[in-house]
Order: sequence, then structure tokens, then C-alpha cells
Amino acid sequence: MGSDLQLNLIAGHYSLDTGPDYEDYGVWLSKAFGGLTVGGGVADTSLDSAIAYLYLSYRFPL
Amino acid sequence: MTGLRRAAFAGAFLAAASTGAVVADEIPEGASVYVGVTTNALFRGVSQTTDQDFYHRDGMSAMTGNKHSTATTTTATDDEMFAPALYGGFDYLHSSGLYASVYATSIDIPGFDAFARVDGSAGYYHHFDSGWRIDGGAVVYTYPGETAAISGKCTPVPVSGPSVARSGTTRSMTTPTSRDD
Repeated sequence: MGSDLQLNLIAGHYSLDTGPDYEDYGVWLSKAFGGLTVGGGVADTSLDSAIAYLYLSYRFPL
Repeated sequence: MTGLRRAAFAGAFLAAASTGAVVADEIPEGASVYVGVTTNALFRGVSQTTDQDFYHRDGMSAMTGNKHSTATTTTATDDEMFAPALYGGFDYLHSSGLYASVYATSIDIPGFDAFARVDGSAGYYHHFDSGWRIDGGAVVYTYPGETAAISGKCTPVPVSGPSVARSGTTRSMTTPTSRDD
């Protein structure tokens, strides 16, 4: 609470009428520094190999 | 505090709906914009900046919903971890819980004309005092620049498994980009 640090988990099943059904699992960690957010995680599906990634974003109000 | 938690959850929802992970930062009530860069453009757990098997096993239609079919020949390296993308978006979160969002990211799928994916979403979110949250909305995914779906050059082809020839870490493949359901 209030630490601006987030641990996120996701698990999903996709049933597509134009493709294969598959499962998606992911975990990522993000940290906000004001409007700047840095994060990274791993995504894996039952279709393919796992992918690790990092991201950096900046948000500002209008 | 409630407003902050609401904003944080809505941000997580919008991010999950659009990207699965990449922009899971907190968003404030009101209008805001953001820009970012990622080492891999993931969508529902699948990269849209690498040559993952997904796009060749059952064709591009699996992600795009394009029911047209074209035969596509690609030669690309196997799944790459580093396949960067730029992204950005606009969010509007009203104090009532109504929200609307537009998200855009660069993509690079071999054999696919679209250079970007643009998502639009809108919905309603409510945070109960008990801590439970409810959220409902709709998301539209678009692929500007994808000519296969609009130029009429698509030709239905029978569904068949991909033909794969491996040579080292490079793969040559011919497969229909979709099936005609």
C-alpha cells in the first residue's frame, strides 16, 4: 500500500475461433517513481517459449 | 486512498486488457497520456515483435481475427528475447468509475503488413468497501496498415499444418495466414 511497488500475476485461457486455444501465465514487477514507471517480468504460454522483458514508461496528466 | 486504489486497479485493468503487462502503472483520475519502450511487445502472452511459432502454426488470424487467407513465406530467426517496441496511450478515468482508453504499440510480425496495433477500450469499474472490485468493459483491437484484410488480395486456402524446414537457428516456412472458418 502506497509503496508504488506492484507485483502482478496473470493466468488466462484463450479460446479463439480463428486460432489455437492456449494458456497464458505471467508475472511482472513494477515500481513507480512519480510519473516514471519501470518494470519487468516473464510471460509464458502453452504455445511457445517463455519471454522475459523489461519496460519503461512515463505518464503525465493533461 | 480509495481514489488512489481505484485508479491503480483501473490502470492494471486497462493494461491487462491492452497489453497483458507492459503498462501496468497507476493512472490518475481525469485524463492522462503516457509513452514508453519495452524490450518485447507482448499481447496475451505472445510476442508481436518476434517470429514466434504462434503466428505460423495457425496463421496471423489467431491474433488479428482476420479470416482472410494468404500464403506467407517467411524466413526469420527463432524467438528473440530482445525485440523492442515503442508504445503510448491516452486514458480517461472519471470519478464515477467510467473509463476510456486508447493504446498504440509498434509491432513487427514477419509476413504481416501492419506496423502497429491500436486498441480502444471503455468500461466501468467499482471498488466496494469490502475490498472486492468489479469491472466490465469492451476492448477493440485494430491493426492499421494491414492490407491483407482490406485490399481483397486474400485468397481462401485449405487448412493445413505448416511446412517447416530448419537449418541451424533459421527457419523457412510456408503456411496459410488464416483459415476460412
